[in-house]
Amino acid sequence: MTSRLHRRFGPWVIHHAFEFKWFYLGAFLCLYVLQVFQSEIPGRIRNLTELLGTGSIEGSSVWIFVGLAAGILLFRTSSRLLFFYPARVQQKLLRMELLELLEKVPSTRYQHRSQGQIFQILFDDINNLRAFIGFGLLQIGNLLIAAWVLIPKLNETDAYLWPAFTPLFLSVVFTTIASLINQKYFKKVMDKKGEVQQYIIESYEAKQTIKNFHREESFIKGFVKISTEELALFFKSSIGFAVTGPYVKLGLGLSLIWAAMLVRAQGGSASDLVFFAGYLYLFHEPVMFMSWVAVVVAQGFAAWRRVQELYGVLVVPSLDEKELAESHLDLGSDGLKLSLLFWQKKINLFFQANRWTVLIGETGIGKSYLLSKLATGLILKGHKVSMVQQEPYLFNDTIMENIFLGKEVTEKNMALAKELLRMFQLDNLAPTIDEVLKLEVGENGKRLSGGQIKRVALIRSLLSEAKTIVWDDPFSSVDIILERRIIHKMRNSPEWKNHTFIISSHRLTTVRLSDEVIYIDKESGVKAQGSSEMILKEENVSRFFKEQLVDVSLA
Amino acid sequence: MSQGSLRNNWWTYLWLRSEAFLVVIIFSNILISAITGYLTPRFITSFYDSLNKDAEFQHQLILFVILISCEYINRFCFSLSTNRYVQKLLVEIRRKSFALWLKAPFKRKSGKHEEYPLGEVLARLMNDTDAVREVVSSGSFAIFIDIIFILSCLISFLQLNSTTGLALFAAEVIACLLLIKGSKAMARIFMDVRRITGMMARVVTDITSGLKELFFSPNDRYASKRGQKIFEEFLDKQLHANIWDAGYYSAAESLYPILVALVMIIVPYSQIVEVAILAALIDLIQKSITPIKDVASKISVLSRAKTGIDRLHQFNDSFEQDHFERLDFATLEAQSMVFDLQVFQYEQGFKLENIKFELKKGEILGILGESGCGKSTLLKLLSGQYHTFSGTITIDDKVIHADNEKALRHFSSYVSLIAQDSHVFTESLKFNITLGAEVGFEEFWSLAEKSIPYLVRWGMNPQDKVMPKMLSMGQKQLISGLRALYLKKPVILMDEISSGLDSELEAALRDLITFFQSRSMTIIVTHRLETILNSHKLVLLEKGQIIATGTHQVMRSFPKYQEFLNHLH
Repeated sequence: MTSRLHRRFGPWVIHHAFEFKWFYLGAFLCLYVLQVFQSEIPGRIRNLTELLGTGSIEGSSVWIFVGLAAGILLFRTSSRLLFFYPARVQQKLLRMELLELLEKVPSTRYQHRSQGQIFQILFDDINNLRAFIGFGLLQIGNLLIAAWVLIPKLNETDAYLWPAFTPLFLSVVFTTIASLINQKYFKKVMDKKGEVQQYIIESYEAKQTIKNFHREESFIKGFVKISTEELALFFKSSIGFAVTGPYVKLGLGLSLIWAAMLVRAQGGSASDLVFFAGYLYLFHEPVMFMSWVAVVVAQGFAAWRRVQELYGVLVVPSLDEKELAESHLDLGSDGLKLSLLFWQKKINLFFQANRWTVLIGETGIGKSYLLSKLATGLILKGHKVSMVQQEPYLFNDTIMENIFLGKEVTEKNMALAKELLRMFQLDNLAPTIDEVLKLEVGENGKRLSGGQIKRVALIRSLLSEAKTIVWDDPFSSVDIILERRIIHKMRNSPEWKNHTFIISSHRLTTVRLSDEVIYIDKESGVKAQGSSEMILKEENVSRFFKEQLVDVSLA
Repeated sequence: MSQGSLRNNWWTYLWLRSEAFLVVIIFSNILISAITGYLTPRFITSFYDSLNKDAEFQHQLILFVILISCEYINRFCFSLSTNRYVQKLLVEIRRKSFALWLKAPFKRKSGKHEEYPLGEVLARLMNDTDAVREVVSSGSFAIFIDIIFILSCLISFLQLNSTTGLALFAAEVIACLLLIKGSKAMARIFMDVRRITGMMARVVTDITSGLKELFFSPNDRYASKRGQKIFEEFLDKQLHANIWDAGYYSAAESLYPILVALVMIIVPYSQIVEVAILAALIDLIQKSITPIKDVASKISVLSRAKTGIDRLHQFNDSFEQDHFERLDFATLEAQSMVFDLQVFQYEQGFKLENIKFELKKGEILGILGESGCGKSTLLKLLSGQYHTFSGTITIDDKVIHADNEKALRHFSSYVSLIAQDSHVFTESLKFNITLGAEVGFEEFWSLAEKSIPYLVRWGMNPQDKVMPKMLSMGQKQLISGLRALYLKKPVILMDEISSGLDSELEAALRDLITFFQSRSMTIIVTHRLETILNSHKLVLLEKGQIIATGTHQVMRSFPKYQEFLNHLH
């Protein structure tokens, strides 16, 4: 697919124009015909006025106006549609391209951007770009073509009238000034508005206090003060438009008077003035759009810059990636070796292939950090790894979509999915298992409990066909009995024989059920490593569990 | 909207007596506009007529300039006056709503939720007034003066040439009606687009929130697939809507040629023989385009504003008129109080029973109990927040029955509750203490500084602005304690003195309590004995009942009290 995002603003617009060249060709044709039709009107009115009173006005010359009106309506609508369509399609293409890119690249590349920022670019900025090409370009095109058609036509017969347009064109200057004044106050008004809201919020929180002390009046006074300030600013911001808005009418009148003097000097007649009035009005419309178009263009330009910034970040490998590329990370047939800096010291970790390894250590020591580095590294090197983070995210979609994530659903993996749902005791979410699959989980899984969300994510990772599975504290919100049952079942099933499980945990039960244990520590990196039976005998490990674990007695 | 249930007519909300002058200006503007509108076709006709008459032209030109200048000045006076009026009106409407809401007691719907939670109050006071502001920012009031102007133009023109005048009038009315109807149909289509836009926003939010998750979970283009689906759906709806809005706006923008065409086909039958009259007709068409085009959108802005006003109106009417007589804080005085509760029960079942104690000015009563014993409920009852218990409160020799809501509310003005979450305002320290009353603050402050040396060391000036987020819990308690003292509350309730304070602040709070003692009856509720070691009387609370009461000496014999004592050492 063609890449749009790497272009600069101008080339992107040109690329877009060529991409939809037939639409724009049609659109410009429509605009041209539209302006030609419109430009016919003043001249024809002049002719008509000259024939007034002579009794020789023919019906046909009058009906032509109806034809012109119908044509204008038709071509104007068509030109709009021909501009709107490519813009809307372009909007979709841009969104898709950006989204696909976001999905493809490692998340480390955009980790410094909040979800809100990415949303804003994908949603609002691309919409502003749409407004620029769909509306801004339409109005600019219309203005250019109007100029192209109207100017020569007027030049041909009545060039002496040009100066009379000055008062009309001045209104563009005035409206621009007005919108600048408005802009200046807009932010101030917004800030003040925030203060008013804050005042209401505080009053709400303190209502009881205020009442108890009978001090309502001073709060009402305070509220009125701040609210008056805000509204006064708002009033000031509207002055610009209050003064310039009516000017347009004055400008039209002054232009007419100016033209009358020119017509007189030229020895023309009232018909010539009627002709001018018609022209004046034809210019009036595109000119009035000018200050609006300026805003749309500025917004479009700024939006493209933000899109470009994000694109720039997305296509360049991040620092983390470079670090990981240089770090030692090998996935061999015997197992997985990883060495990296951990609390400013080098730590070497080894996870045996096709075994269950548990990582233990104090809270806050950086287990999650190690696991996510490990998973990121492996994924970047092209291995299929699935990691379930401590707080996994569920999409606002059905359970089925959440566990398959767009993968093809076959009979085989469907059967596995159902089995897993039962095994993780999620089958009781709805009367039947099919209904469970169709269950909508809500925004970030808000219809499920934290433990249920986690279990859905675990199933997702088991269905992902990854051979290396990394789980960060998977069973924290699962009770011990269920945990034991799940691990037992999995360990006895041939399905998971060829999978490497790397898990972090706080629980003795998890340790007991695993093959290998790695105990990490701030000072010594790997403090102890070995099979679970052996390592539990070690004194520092058993002390760790005594200090850290709540359910020692239960295990 | 059930207009019948409202106490006042909605127009009473739009009338501001103090700004009657502006209303006079606004109406004279409309009148002047009607006059200039009436004169315009005549002036245009004479102006065109005089074009080839040297003597008259100069005269007509000056008249014409005067006319359009008058119209301009009139317009912008109108805009400024209406904007000014709306500004004043909004201040007043907000003040009224804010005052009614602030003075009304918290209403609880079905015993649980506020009738007006914060979001609702903000929506009323801010968003609903915003709808009215939009009338100003979109210049929608101008539509009134525009319509009057065009109507007078038309009437005046009818006398010049009735055939074309009537045709134009009919055409314009039809155009207006069609556009209004069209905009209503469009509103439905746009609603569809808005809905799908909202859905798309939710999907995009969802996808962007889960991008990291997708990186760690092998998947088959889940985000792109979902994005594609919603983007295509949106595109579909949007393109459909575009057909309508392209047609609608094109029709609106093509009004000029359409109206010209309509009028022109009538010209041969209209007996117009003078160019000047035709010129006036075309001028009239040009002038009427913008108002006709705008009528639909302006009407919707105005109707939104009216809805806003109606909603505020209902909001205000939902509060009972506040006839409560406010007491002057300086006159509050009480020497003793007896609290006698027979029973209070929550819907969920927990109850307080047989709680009785008495207190004199200068005494401190300590109420001790573990969490869940009913301390916070007792505080609410003592501060008069619930009136659904059986029992009496006697202040001096006035007996207040708890089921008498009004009397209880009266009692509540004797009480100040200093809770851990007592509100501190983002205002000056002085305002926080006086809540806007100024009388005798200077003397109070110097007395406070003498009684609580910490205030001097703290270095806060009364004029300094308080930043609630920067304060510790203890400092907040100190401020709300000073507030209670300044406002001379005869009864002071203190909920848990903060623990884990630095020694300076702890000393300050002790000084504060000594200060209380000199002026009021003080009740301290706590689960830690050390905070009430110097209280005169103690009440030990368990499971909603008093299990022991008396002085420290008396209490020593109770095993439960000994437990608290043991914690101390």
